[in-house]
Amino acid sequence: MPQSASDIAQSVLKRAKARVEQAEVIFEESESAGVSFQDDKLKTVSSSAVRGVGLRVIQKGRLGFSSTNDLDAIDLLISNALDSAAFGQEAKFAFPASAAGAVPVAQFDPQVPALTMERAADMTREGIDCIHASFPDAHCGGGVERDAGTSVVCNSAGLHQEESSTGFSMGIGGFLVRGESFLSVDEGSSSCRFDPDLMRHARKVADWIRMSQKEVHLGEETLPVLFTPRAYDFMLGTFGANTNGKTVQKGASLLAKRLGERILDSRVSLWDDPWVDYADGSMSVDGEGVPARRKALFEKGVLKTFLYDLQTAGMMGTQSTGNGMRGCSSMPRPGEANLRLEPGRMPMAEILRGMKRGLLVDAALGAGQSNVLAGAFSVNIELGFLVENGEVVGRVKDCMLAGNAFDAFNRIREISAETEWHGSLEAPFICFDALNAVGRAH
Amino acid sequence: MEDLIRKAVQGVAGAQYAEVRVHRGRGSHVTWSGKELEGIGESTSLGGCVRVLVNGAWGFTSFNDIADLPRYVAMARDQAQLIGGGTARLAPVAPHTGTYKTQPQEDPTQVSLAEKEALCRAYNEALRRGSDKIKTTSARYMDSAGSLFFANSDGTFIEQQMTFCGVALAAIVMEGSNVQTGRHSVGDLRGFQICRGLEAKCDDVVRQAVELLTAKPPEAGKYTIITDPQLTGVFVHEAFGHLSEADFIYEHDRLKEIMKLGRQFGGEELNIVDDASIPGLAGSYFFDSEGAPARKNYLLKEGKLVGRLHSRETAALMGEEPSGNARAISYGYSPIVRMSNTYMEERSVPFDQMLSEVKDGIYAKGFLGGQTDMEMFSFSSEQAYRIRDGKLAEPLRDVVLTGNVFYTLKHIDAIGNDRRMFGGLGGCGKGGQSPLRVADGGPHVRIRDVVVGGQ
Repeated sequence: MPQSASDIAQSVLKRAKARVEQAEVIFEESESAGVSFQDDKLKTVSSSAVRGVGLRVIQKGRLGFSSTNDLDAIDLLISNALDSAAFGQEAKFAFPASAAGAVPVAQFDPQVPALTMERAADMTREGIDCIHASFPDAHCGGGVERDAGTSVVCNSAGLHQEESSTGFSMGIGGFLVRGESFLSVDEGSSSCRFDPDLMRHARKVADWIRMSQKEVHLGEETLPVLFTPRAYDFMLGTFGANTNGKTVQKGASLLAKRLGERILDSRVSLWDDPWVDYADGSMSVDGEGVPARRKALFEKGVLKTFLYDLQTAGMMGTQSTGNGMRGCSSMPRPGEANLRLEPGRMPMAEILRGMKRGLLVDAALGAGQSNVLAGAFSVNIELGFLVENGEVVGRVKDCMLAGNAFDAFNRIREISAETEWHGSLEAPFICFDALNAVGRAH
Repeated sequence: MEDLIRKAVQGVAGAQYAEVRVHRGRGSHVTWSGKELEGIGESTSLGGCVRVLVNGAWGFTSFNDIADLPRYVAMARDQAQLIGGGTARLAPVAPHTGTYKTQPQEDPTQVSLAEKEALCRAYNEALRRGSDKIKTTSARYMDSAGSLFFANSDGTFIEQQMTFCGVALAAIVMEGSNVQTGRHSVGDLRGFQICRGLEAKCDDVVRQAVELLTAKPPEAGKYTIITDPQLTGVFVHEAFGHLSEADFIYEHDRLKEIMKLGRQFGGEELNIVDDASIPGLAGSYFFDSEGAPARKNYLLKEGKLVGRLHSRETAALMGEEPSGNARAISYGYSPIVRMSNTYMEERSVPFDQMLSEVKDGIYAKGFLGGQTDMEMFSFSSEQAYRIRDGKLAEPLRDVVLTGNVFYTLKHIDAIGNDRRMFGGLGGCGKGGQSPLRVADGGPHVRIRDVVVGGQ
């Protein structure tokens, strides 16, 4: 009879408590399965059954940590955690005794583990057929994946928190070569819930391909740029890095002393929201048993809060915000649950219609590979289009787009009324007033 | 356990081919950052995977419970059967047996955690006292060592014992709203000695960060660029390496035409190589993740396409030889075609001469990142300088270069004589598998007509 996740976690905790002053165990197990298509064909059906255990200890006031996925090596795990604590940081918190007050969030959909791989393959195949109906020479890839798992956090103060969750993701893409020009387009989504509608992604892939039939080359110019909801996540990464309690504690945040100040355009409200039923980053408690909660990072452009885990909060003399993020193989770190950027009022189509000359950008190459803390970016437009008098005139290639995230978010022309979810991010389309583009026609 | 693995791949009913990988390992890490020791300790891991080919289609399963291996073999076979047939075949690879070990000069697993901690603390202190503009620092050490067992139904049974270690240093400086970072990283299979003696590098990292505070972003435009050996490596990796991975090409007729062996991609001086068999580099191994031996593969020779990177499957379907480049980052993943140690061979032009011939351009050094969509690529430098009248002039920051593979390789107009190879704690990402240990390198290289983003 296999042991339950809770039994395993408690048995590790019991053995640790015999040798350690204070201990916290995180145990995770999950099973996944998926289908993967390449070059229009179903190539591989995969599955996995993985587990792991992490042990954090406080010994003589110091933190120690180790992890393993060998359940026959628990004594070594405890010794390793103790060795770690001989050097570790002074603990600035106590393990919580309970997660009282946690708000329940739906994270488990029984339809997900029930999904057969035959159905998963059929869904992907229909999507590929849909793209081929318009573009028979597109080489399509994609797939569907499901997982279901249980995570237990328990500690020597008495906390025992078990959560089961499911995950479902699907993606589809098309790849075309015209002459020596490549075009690669991918769409997809993920959440805790089964979603049968892969066709909407396939239709979107076909739309992007249709829009890319003509290529245009830019010289150098400054122009308005409308980003799709997933295309400017590298800018949100700058705000995420600067509001992370760890960056603040280290003194490296540009926003460290600016709580309460207006930092971004007053139309920008950015939330960390763990309470969205079935969203990718949702949770009722964080990775160290602290109840998760909804909070604004920026409200109407004003900086409202930083994100903390227990230790970082303790060092800063404040409270954890319930943002201790971790897997079983690492210590917690402050991190976001779901990021949600509030929508504006104008429909995306209307923003586009109002654009005299500008760019529509859906994907950037090299995003996040420049000075993220400072917000500086310089990216190649991987999938983007020139817009003239409200109409897409062609795909822009071999063109760099440069700017600064803080500046861009203070020069917003319009935020769309509609939003899209991409993983743990919900965001609208945003049109920035003026960014600098330079292409080969320079 | 070895017997269990050996037996698991024999006589799998209905299967054309079966393979098992099992990894047992341990790793340690130390991170000093600012005034605190952020993390320290050792962890262990054990896991495995099975891949089975049935009627030209693959089933793959990964797991931690090794005792249940026979059940996972049956699962992978059933999954492959479910596909109902495919086109996959495998090019032959002679069976190999034996144990293969990396030879670290100083074995990191024999160095105490206390010594690793003291080393990082000393580097972190050196970084912290480097300048009064320092906001925070980090000195991070990590190592991994373990046994990777591989068995397949062709009769291969090998154990590879790999030991990797390295250090990453960083300093963040701030002046008003200007925040800049200096970085340095080493990491490969040569042993713990590479982690020692980096005090001077700490000074360089701080100097680099402080200098960036005074640097200006470039004006957008097209420039003549000189890349240093490290950035040349990233350029080679992004601009050509990924395009020579055969899994991208092997089922696409138009791409097969574009990537036809013999096609001229660059000048006669241009040689690009991928070689996993060089001892001690970050991307080195004895056998890839499907048991094919590592070897030296020329990709471009005298500017002509002469080879590409293969798995056994892509080699069979293209009628070429396996190159030993099917790699998985861990037992959790199927092998896919990847680079190992990729470089541009050196030629004869000294850096000074290369520089003196540039009237107006940019010298870009070190690497921050790189990405490709196979045709277009971008790569960003850590440091850069404007070149004016053949001399290095004012420092620049946020220099990100972009290009198009078919255009840029033809615009390389000078190749230096000073090749070096670079590993580090980072790695390459592809198909959701990241980071994969790789090394890149080359000499100084001059490229005409490169687009640089900016104001």
